[in-house]
Amino acid sequence: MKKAIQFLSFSTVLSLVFIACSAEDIRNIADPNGEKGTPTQTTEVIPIDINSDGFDFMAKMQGHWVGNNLVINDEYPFFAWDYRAISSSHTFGIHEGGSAGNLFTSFFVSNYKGKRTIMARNGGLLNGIYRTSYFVLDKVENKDNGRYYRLVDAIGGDGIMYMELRFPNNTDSLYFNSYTSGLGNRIPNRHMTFKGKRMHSELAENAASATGYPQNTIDPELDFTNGFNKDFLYVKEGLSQANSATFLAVQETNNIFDLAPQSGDPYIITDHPRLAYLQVNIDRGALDNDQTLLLFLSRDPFTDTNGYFTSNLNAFKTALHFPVLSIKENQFLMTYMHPGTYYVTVVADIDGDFSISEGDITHPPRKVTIEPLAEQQITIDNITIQN
Amino acid sequence: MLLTIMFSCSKNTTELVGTWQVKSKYYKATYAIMEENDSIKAKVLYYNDGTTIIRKKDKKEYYVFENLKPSKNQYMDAVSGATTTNENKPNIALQPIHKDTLKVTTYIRNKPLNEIWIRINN
Repeated sequence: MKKAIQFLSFSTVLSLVFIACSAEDIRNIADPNGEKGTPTQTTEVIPIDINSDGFDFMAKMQGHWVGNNLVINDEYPFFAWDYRAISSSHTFGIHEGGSAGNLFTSFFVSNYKGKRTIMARNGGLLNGIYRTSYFVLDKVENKDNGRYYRLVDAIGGDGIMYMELRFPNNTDSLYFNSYTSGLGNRIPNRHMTFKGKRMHSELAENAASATGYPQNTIDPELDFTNGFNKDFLYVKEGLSQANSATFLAVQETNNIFDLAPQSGDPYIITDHPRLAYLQVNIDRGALDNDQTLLLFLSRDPFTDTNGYFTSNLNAFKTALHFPVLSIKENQFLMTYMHPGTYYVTVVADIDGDFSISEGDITHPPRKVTIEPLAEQQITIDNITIQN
Repeated sequence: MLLTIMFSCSKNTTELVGTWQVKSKYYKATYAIMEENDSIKAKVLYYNDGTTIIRKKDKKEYYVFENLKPSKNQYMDAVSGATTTNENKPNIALQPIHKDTLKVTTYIRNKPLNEIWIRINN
């Protein structure tokens, strides 16, 4: 079972996606004329009119994308994005990193700069920093190697940051890469490189069925016909106006319910339809308070009825969330949860490798069903079975 | 921008001149390390991370690093060589482990990402 699947700490990932905190390059594929390291300029944003082309992205994006990820210099042999519809024109995926924070990107139909288009909302919460940035679809191409979409910063364009998604022709897979500049500190370069296959399709299919997804309609709260309120946009130090469609708030604690309204973000956690909360309480029993705990929410159980890791290796690929909890943390609130049924597994990471491995301590399966918009709790105890 | 090449055995830049292929499961890349005056740089001949593709024939040129000059026992760009701050640490290190194999370590916040570059021709 050792190394059957590797789940690594996501805290570093989060530190990298929070652009306000990062100002360093990954692999510097820079311009040859000394432009590297110099501030970048915003570029014009010209949205794609999805009434002509590109609306198919919304259908393509649905799914449990299971693969690997390279974020700056951190490798994640296992990584997953769980994209499901939360309205007829909005699909949402999040990586819950645990105590450190989370990262989401949702895609929705909107109006922007006179076009019916697709926009993305990307951000999350990290160590007291709340950030969201808005992107707009500006490229749709049929390439030799698949269908390609690009979304750029809705104000700063590709000079500030952008994301690219490609769906290869012959495989049901996704390349999802992002490129950032530290809000203009440098030429945008590769930031995240995710590659995954679509699996467990019934999860997204059920959500689509419940919401009537996808439709070329607009949720009223996500209509950006009039752009963004300039009074609330984050203005980087040294600039007189925002160079990015970014909203930011900082607080000592990681309380999203305080930070979201402070940021001026026009769409916050409480505006999301369907998404729910799950409070996970952990009774450590004889486990030391300093013992690192890994938390898994999955479609299939990770353990057998006796509490040992299952021999069904495919079960581990059904992991939907895999946060890491800080030492001494015995409660964790999972936010932005898609409604549905999950197995909840707590793993005492005895060898400290942030992976499921021999010697780790587990428990018999525990299942929870979360209703739309619910605030639910589960207590995990009997963590006593050493593998 | 701090760019440094450290050579454990030699400071002979011609040793590295040639075409190198990156061994990575996250992206494909081929770079040409070349001399320019008394420094070296690495031009992107091919790069494909799944969505962005850079080809040799593209109008715009891209470089992985450039303007690296010898400084004591390492190679460093002119800007880094002129500064003496505490931040003056390498963010890329090239260690030849064979005449046709380079261990390339990229540092972000002092955390390394190790890659192997294989020479595919001279």
